[in-house]
Amino acid sequence: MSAAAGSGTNHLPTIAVEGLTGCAGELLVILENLDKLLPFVRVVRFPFAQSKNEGGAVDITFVEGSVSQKHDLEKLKRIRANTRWLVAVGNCAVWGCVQKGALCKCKAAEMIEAVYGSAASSIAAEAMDAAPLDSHVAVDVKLSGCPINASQFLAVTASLLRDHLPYIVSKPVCLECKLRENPCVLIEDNLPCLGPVTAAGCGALCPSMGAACYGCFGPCEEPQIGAMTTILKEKGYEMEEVLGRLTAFGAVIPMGEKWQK
Amino acid sequence: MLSPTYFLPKERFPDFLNALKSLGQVFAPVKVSKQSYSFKAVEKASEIAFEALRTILPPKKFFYPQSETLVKFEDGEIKECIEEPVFKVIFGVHPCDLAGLGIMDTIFEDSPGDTHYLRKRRTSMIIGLSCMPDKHCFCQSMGTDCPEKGYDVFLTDIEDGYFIEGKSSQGQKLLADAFADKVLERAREAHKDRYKRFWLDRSEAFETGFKVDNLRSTMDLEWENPVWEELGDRCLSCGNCTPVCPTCYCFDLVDVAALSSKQDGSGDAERRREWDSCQFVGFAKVAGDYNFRPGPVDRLKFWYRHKLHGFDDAYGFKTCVGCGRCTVSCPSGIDDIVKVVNILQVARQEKDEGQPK
Amino acid sequence: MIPGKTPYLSVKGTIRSIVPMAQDNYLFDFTERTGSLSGCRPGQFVELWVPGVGECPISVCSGRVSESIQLMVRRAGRVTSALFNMSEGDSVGLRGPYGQGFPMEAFKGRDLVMVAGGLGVAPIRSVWQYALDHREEFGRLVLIYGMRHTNDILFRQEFKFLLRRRDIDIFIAAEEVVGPALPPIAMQLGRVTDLLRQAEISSDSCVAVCGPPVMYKYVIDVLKERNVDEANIHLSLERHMKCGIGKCGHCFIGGKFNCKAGPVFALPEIKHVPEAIECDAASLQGGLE
Repeated sequence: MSAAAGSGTNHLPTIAVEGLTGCAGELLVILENLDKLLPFVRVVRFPFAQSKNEGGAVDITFVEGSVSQKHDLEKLKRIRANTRWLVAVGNCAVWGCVQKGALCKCKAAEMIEAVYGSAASSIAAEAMDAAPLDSHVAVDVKLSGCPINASQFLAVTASLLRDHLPYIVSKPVCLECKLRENPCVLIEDNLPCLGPVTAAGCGALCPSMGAACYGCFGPCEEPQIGAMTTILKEKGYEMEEVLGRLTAFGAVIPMGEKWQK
Repeated sequence: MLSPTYFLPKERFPDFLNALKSLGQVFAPVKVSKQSYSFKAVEKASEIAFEALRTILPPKKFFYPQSETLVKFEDGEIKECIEEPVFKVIFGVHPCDLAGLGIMDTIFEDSPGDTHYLRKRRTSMIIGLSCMPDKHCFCQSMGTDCPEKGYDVFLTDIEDGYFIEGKSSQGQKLLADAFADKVLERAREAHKDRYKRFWLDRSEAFETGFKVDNLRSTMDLEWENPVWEELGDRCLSCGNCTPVCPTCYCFDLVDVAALSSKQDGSGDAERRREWDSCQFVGFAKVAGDYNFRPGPVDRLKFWYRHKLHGFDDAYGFKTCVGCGRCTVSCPSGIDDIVKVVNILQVARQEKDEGQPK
Repeated sequence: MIPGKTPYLSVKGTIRSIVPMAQDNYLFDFTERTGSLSGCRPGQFVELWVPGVGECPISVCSGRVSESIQLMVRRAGRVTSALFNMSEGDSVGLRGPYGQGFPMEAFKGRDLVMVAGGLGVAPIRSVWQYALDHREEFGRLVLIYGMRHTNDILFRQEFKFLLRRRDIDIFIAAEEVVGPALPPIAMQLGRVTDLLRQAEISSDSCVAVCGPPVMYKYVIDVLKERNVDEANIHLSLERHMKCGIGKCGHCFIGGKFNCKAGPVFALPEIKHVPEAIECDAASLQGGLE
C-alpha cells in the first residue's frame, strides 16, 4: 500500500469513512468497530465521528448512502478521485435502498411535492433519482447490509489492507437460516419470507425471531424471482404486495426485469 | 456369539439417561416449533421428544459442524488446527439417520481421512431409536429401514419398554454396566416376540415408496423428461434441501484474514470450511466464470441424480436414505423424491410398453 | 485409532523464479524442501494456498518434479491475482499431488498424440517432458497445440528447441493474429481440429488431451474420424477442485470426484455421464481458453 499519498508521519494505511444519503447505520457499525481497526490504520477522514479531518488521497474509503442529491454526486466524484479502493457499504450504497425502491411506485417529483408542498421546487432542483454508487462511479467492493454485518466489514477490511479483493459470495439467507436450524417461516407459518432470494450476511436475523425476511440485504446471486412470486401467489399473497416487497430495498432492476418475464 | 439383548421398562428411562449422561453430554430431539424438532443438549427425560420423526438438521452436525477451522497461518507458519472434542452421546437416532451417518463415515474415512470429522465421530456414542413411518418416510424403498451400522446401541419401542441391542464394544459395555446397575433387565422371550412383531408391523406401515431396482436406468433414460423443466421453473435455488440431508457433505473453503499491519500479506489467516450447497449458482463454476450447471434445473437434476444413483459407481450405494427431510423442507414442494421417481418410472414404463418387442 | 494429520495441511513453497510467458500467464518455480510433491506425475495437480486469500488447483506443468516444482498460472481470480503480486522469495502453501494423471505406463510402447488447447498446454508439457525423458520407450510422438491468439503462446523458448528435434512432430496454430508480429516459431492459422486432420495419426495411438471444456467434443469427433480407439483417448477435465481430496463435492462429475478419480479420464469412463464433456458453447463467456 506504499502507493498511497498522505500517510504523513506514520506508515499505517489510511482510511476514510464518508456518508451520502442514508440513515448513517453503516457509519455507526464502523464506529462501533473502529477500536479493532485502529492498530492497523490511520483514520484520515470520518466526519461523522471526528472533528479533525484531513484532505488528500487515502488507501480505502468506505462510502455509505445512495446518490440522491447533486451534492452527493459531487462528493462521490471527489471521493473516487482520492481513494485507491472504494468500498460501497450498506444497501443504500450497493442497491439504493428504500429511497430507490420508492421510485418503483411514483416519480421523485411527486414524492417531493407530497412532502414539501410549496417548497418543493427548491428541493427538486437539488434532488436526483436515488441510485447506488456504481451508477455513477467505479466501485471496487460492494458490501451490502442494512446495516452491514460487523464481522464481514472487518474481513473485507483485512483483505483490502493486504491488497486483496475480499471473498464476498451472495448466497441466500436460507443457508444461514438452515445453519441455525430455524423452523422455516415460509413453510410452517406461510409468512412471505424473502430468504430464498435475499443475500445472506445478517445471520438470518428475522427468521430466527419468527419473522419473514424482508430482503434488506438486497438480492442474492441470481435470485429466482419467478419461482419466488409463484410460491407467494400460491400462499395467497397479492401480486402487488409481492412486487412491493421484492422491490422495497432498491434492487429494482435485477428483480423487476426477471419478474416481468 | 450373539451379544445379549436387554429390556428397559419405560419408567426406568431416567436412570438410563443418567447412565448416558455419565459418559458425556447427551443430545436428543427436542420440539422447537409446532412441527419441527432439533437435536439439542438435554438434561431431563421430559425434554426429549420421543415422537420426533425427523429433526430439521440431521445428526451429521455433531461431527461435521456448519463451520470449522481446518488450518491456520500464524506467525509465518502453516499449522494444523486440532480441537480435542468432548464426548457426545446422541440419543434418538432413527434408522434413516444411522444409514446417513454410515454414508458420511464412508466419505470422510475414504483416504485421505478427514481428521476433523473422524476425531469428533470417534468421540461419540450413537443411541438409535425405532420409529413408525409417516406419509413422507420412504427408507424402506432405499433399503435403509433397518439399522445396520453407524450406531452403538439401538432401542426398539415395545410399548411398555424398550428392547435394547448393543452393536459396538462401547455400546455393549454401556449396556453391561447398566445391567449391573439394575437399570436394564435381560430381554425375555415375550420381549423378543414383541420386538419381532414391532418390526413386522413397521414394515407394513409404509404409505409411500417406489421400486429401486430400475432407478438407475430410469434416471439416465428420463434425463430429458419434461418434468425436470417444470420442477426447475419452481426451484428457488435456496439450497434448503442440502443442509437438511443426512448425506450432503459438500462444503466451501474460505480464508479468513486477520487484521494485520503487515502489508506483504504475511499476516495471520485461517482456512475454514462452511456447509455449501450444489443448488447455489456458483457451485460448479470454474476459472473464467464458466458454469457447468448454470440454471436451477441443471442443479436440481444434478442433486436428484446424485441422491438416487450418484455413488453407485464410486462407492456402491445410493446417497438417499429416504428420511423425507428434503420433501418437508422445500418451500416449493419440488423435492418430493417419491413423487418425482414415480413420474419418471411411469413415463419409462409407458415408453417400454409402447416399443415393439 | 487416533487420526493423523489433517489432509488440508499444506507445506511451505518458496517462489524461486517467476517468468512471464504471455500476458497474465506466468511460470512460477517453487522450492519445496520436504519433498512431499516430488512424486508428482504428468496430469496431476496441486492446491496452491495464498494465506488470507484462498486456495486454487493448479496443474503441474513439469515432467521432472523434485525439490522444485513448476506451475504455470493464469491470472484469473482472487488467488491467482494475489500470487501475481508476490515476488521471488515469498512463500505460499502447497499440498498434493492429487488426482490420477495421464497413464504414462500404459502409453509406453505406443504412439502418443498430445493435444493442448490454450492453458491446457501446461499439463500437456509434463506429458511431453516425461515422454522425451523416456524417449526410447515410446513410439511416434505428436504434439498439437492450439490457442486463440498468436501472442497467447506459452513456453515459446522451449518450443524453439522442441521444433528442432526430429523425434517429435509438433503442430502449432492460433485462431487469430494478435500482437506486433507472428512469434518466431512455425505457427499456422487455424484450430486444434485442423491440426489433428493434418497430423499423421495411427489408429492405435494413445491420445492425451487438455484444453477448455468447449474443445473436447470437436477433438473427439476428429479422433474418431482417424479411427482412434475411444479407450485410448485420455482427457483431463476442468472442474473447481476446491479440496482436492474427494470431500467438498465441487468437482463432482456423474458418479465421481474429478479430483480423485480424475482429472484424467479415459473417454469410455465419462462419455455417458451428463455434463462431463458436453458443453454449451454459447454460455462460454469471456473465454476460458
